[in-house]
Amino acid sequence: MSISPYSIPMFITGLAIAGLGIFVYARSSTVLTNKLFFFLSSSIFIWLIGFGIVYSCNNIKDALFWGRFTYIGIIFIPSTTLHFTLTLIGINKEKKALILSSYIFSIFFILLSRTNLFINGMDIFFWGYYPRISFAYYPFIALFFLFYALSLYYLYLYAWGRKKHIITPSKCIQLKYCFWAFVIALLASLDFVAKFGPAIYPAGYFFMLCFVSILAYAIIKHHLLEIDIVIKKTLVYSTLISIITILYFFLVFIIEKVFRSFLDYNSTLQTISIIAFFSIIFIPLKNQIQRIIDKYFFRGSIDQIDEENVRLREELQKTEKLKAVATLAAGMAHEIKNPLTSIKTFTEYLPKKHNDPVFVEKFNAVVGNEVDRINNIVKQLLEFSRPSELKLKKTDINGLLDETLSLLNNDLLKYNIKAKKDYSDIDIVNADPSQIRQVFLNLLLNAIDSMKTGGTIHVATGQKDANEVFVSISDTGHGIPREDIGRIFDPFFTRKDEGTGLGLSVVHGIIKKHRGTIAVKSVPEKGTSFVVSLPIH
Amino acid sequence: MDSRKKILICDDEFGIRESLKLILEDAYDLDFASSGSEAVNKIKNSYFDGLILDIKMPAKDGLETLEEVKAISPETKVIIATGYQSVETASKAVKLGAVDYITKPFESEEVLEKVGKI
Repeated sequence: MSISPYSIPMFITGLAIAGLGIFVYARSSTVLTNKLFFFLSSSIFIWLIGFGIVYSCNNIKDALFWGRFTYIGIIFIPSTTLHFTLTLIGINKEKKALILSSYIFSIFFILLSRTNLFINGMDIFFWGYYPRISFAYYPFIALFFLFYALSLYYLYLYAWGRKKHIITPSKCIQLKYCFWAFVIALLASLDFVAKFGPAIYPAGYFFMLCFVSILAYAIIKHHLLEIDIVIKKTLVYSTLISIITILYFFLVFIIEKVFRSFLDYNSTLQTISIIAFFSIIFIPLKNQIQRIIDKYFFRGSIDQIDEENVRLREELQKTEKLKAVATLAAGMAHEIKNPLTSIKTFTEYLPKKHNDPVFVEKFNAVVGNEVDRINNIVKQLLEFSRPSELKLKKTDINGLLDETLSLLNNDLLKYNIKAKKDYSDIDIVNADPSQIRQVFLNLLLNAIDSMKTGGTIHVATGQKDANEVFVSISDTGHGIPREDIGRIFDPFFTRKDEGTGLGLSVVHGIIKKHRGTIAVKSVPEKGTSFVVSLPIH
Repeated sequence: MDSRKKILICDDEFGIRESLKLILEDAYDLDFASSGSEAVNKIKNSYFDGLILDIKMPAKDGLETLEEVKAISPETKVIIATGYQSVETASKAVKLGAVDYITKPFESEEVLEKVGKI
């Protein structure tokens, strides 16, 4: 059996459809619509491949065998289409009886297709063998169109008709694409015509290529079949295959009809020339298609990805803020416990000792002082939780560092970390204290994270000149790998298991807003040192 | 012979020292230290039956102080006072020789009961 040129487009189209079916199934094999789409594409695949083989058969016996084989696929097309459609709409459960009857129809005709009542021979046309139908074929055609028409009817009903309001707008778009894809696929039924006698070339595969392209587009653009946008390659290759098929036929036509008349015709030479031609154009053509598809099909998707990224970034920023607030709250709770203890004890003894002047004096001193302390802590918390708009005021950097360190006492204690302070007498800086506190908090939290088995944090301040102060926060932790240093201020860059990677990017943003600078020096396994410089005015 | 037990209270916070004084002064002889080093010095110079020691203190923290105290005076019973409720810290303190711990804000009965066991 030599392969007829008319078989090639059947094989190519069949493989393209099978590829899409397998891809859809592999991406989400547990979803029913995906499974059904796989069965539908398998049915179409059997039809196309089967007829591709039939066209290449050189005896009637083989042709009849493969001709009957193709009907395993063709007969299941209307039932799988109907089942897929009703499932996609979401009414498969209420239309169970209809789906079942379509499968009964398919099984009945599968059995019948093995007999002469369905196909009773093969006719030969210019493209090869083609089945000669018998009387049982007529009810099959009628039922084929009935079930197929029902699929289109339900798609129409839910995409445009009176049921439109009960589905979501995105589902509506998906159904519209499916509707048009199935309408195009219906044109492939022109293949039936030749079975009734007229020598009309069965070019249905071309419509099937359009069908697969529309579905691939809907899958990409409108998330049909719960597949993400990673199907780009399928679309590229199916377009490529379409173009190559058309070109192939054009070349066959030219060689057959034009050159045969005045050149020595040689089919081997024809095949080699065509293969050489396609080898040359394949890669540039693929790249060109890739560019066009990227430009026209994925622009929206990239926008969607951008939107998604913005949303995720916002969510992560919230998480980062919550993490900082959680640390702050733990620190606050700890700080509040000491004054609470004093207030509690003194008030407990008040009824018993209110006549004791020494007690009353101490009560006033201790309780008054501790209430002020709690008030300050609450004030700090409120300041911290304010929105991030820059509110510059005279800020005592040393005091701010102390406040932040005291919030972290809990963690320092927990991880056996010592804090060494080396403050210089520096000028008051014009800065936003709440944001600068966040800078210190994030840097100190990072230092703590790098010393979970203990170590020392060295905090120093100094004045570079009359215009600038600096704060240095160093740790003796595990350090930052050399290759990561350049990326630590990038949003989302992190090597920590639980980190969001926003801490240092927030620090960088705040320092930049203050027109300051931040520098980092790190030696792996020795420690890291951050130096923040801030303008005084 | 003076039968009252001598207790040293070591906390960097004035309010806490005064609170413990209020609770314990009727039953014990008290002395005070506002840092770990001061407590170690006092224990070097005289004997204390008990020490109430804050965990979180600047410079020399409670655990460090505890280690030194136990080295100087193993008989002194140490009760850790902490606002930081953590099993890890408590077990660390017990390993280093503390007999008990109280968490802030504490109840006066609880303090009296635990110090009473010394």
